[in-house]
Amino acid sequence: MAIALRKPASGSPASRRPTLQVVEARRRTTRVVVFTATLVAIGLGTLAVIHTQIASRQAVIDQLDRSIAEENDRFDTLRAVRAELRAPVRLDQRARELGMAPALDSSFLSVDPLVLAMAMASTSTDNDVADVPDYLGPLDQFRMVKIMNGMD
Amino acid sequence: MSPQRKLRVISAKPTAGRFKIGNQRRRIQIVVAFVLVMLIVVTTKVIGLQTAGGDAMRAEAANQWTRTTTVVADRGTIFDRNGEELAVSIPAATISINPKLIDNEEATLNMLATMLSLDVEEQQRLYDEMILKDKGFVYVRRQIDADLGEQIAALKLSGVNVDSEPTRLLPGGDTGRSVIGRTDIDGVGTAGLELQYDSILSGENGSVTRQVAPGGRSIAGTEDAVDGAVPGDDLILTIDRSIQFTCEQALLERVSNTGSKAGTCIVMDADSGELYAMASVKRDADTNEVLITSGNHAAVDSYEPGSVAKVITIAAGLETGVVGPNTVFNVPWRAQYGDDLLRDSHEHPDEDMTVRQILVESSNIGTIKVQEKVQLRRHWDFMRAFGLGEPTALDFPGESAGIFKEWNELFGSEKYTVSYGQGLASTPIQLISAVNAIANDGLYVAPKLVRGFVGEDGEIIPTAPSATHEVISTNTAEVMQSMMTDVVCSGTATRAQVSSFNVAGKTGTGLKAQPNGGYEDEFGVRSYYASFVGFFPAEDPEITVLISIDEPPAGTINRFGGTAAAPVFARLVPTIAHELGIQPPSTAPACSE
Repeated sequence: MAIALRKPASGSPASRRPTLQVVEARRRTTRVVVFTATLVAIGLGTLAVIHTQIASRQAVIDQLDRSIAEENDRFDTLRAVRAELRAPVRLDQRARELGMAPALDSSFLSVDPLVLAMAMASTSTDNDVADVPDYLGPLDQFRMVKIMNGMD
Repeated sequence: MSPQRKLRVISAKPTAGRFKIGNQRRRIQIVVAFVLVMLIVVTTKVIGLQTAGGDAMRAEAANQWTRTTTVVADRGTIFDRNGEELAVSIPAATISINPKLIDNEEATLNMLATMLSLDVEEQQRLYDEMILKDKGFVYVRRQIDADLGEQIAALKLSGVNVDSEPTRLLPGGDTGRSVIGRTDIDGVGTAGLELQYDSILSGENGSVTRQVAPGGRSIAGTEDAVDGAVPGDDLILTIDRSIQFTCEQALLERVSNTGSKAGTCIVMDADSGELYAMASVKRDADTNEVLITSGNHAAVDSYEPGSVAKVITIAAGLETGVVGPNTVFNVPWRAQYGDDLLRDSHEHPDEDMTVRQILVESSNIGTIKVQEKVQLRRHWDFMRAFGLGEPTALDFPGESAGIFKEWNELFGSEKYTVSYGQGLASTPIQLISAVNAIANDGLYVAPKLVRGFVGEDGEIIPTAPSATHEVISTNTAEVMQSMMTDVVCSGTATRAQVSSFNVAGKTGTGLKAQPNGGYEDEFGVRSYYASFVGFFPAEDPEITVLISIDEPPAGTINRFGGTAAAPVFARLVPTIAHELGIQPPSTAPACSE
């Protein structure tokens, strides 16, 4: 029965260096490099996409901010116009143009409460009867806008 | 294995020539030392730049490529008590040029001149600036209509800037101008409440920093650094715009019709001291037109109050118990006090007058007799308690304390004339506050102009209630109210009567001091200051009103408080009652009884 024997090593240690190991190492390095490069590329790509998204969203936010500022300006302009229209000096002038004149005297009349109640019910001048929503005055409207603007 | 290799390498070096190796080492050492020295120098410089001189250098660098523009904070709105806008800031545009960036001077100037209607002088000034090119910023027109600004911006003229700069507007015209005051073109308060509350109204300016290329043009694609402006808080006044307007119109008409110099109207809530109106009008010296003033004469100017001050003297007499309403004095029409012969407004025989009659008929001599009973020192204390001699709690810009000497500094007839309002001066706001103490059942309540603020979060922050202190007892106040009702029913103020309401009040006809120190000018003519202070409903006073007419025509019937001022009061009461929903009492007016 033959027995396989290991041939003793011969020659210098350098000549016996396995060349396969070098090839093996190069392949691993290449893979690592390729893998890393791929990761970096993907990362950079992702960053670019995220940055683009952020820039895009920022543009939208900037546009919205501009719109808010424009609407605030418009609100201020319109409430100034409304205040001018509601000003006593304009109403007085307009009334005079329509031929009215300030009353020289005034007198207070007593009204029967029953008559008053009937008049209010028939003309829906009572909020409880007519379910008319409360009128929001200029100050309340202004405060609402200010509250909304403060909710940053 | 590796130690052997190292050993082999190290052992190999000495095999080279010693001289050559030594040279290399020295050279390397020299190079390393040089590099180290350079590194230290550079590092030291870098550290120096980053620390000691860093900020300055960074700022200088930033200045080279950035430009910061101030964003003006929105100035707070001033509302009346019902939430109507009295003063608002609205968007506007400011046009400026950078002459260094203008390519075509003639075309740019023609375009601006057409759109902004620039006059010849303005055009010449701008043209000179454009040609000189020694400035980087020149205003063309400030605070123009925002739409017009947008049109100019759309033209994209080289070197022409269009910036947002809000402008201040009084939507009600001149209504309330005396109280509101004004701002300058930069939006800084310069008078009135705009000045007094400037720090609250103005907010905090912000800024926009943008990167610019040489020449000042913005770099496309770069982001702006925005430090947002914080808008100012808003004021809610106690003023009622409708009542303010009515007061002003009534004064304008009265001052115009009587040929007077000026007029003042104050409407006050008797309980809270809140002012519904505070109006001042004045005749323009050049045009002779009567206009609403930008100055608040009701708080700034002081005059001798005249007979209105008698209510303090009589109230002091009643409060101290030295007299009652029916205490009788024998009153001549004139009498010697100090060096002066003092007299009533008209000649009458010596007559027995009750204290009530003294007030109703406004007798100077009778009032002196009451003051003598009270004694000067105590009378002086009462006048101080009624608020004379010191500015009110309004703390209005330029508010006067009046002229009010210490009791021991009064000399001669002054000791007596102060009892009927001569020899001292008070502002209209001091005077109405004093009389209002009687309407408010003896409680002095400080006048108030601001109800609250609207904060950044939109919430209303109310101001503290007015300070109060008791001046006279409720009983004394009620007796005074009754006597003052008689003044209107049958005394000097019958023209203040109003149908449906009982009115109480007191007239005053003060003399104005002349530049020569006396009461008559070089032609022997006197100048008057006619006033009326009243409150209604007399049974339960809710509203106190002061009307004063400055320099009504001397020598006419209209020079008195009862004729010049009281009719204005009567005209105002129905409107005030209507605006504030004050119902007339169910009982018949006292004057008709």
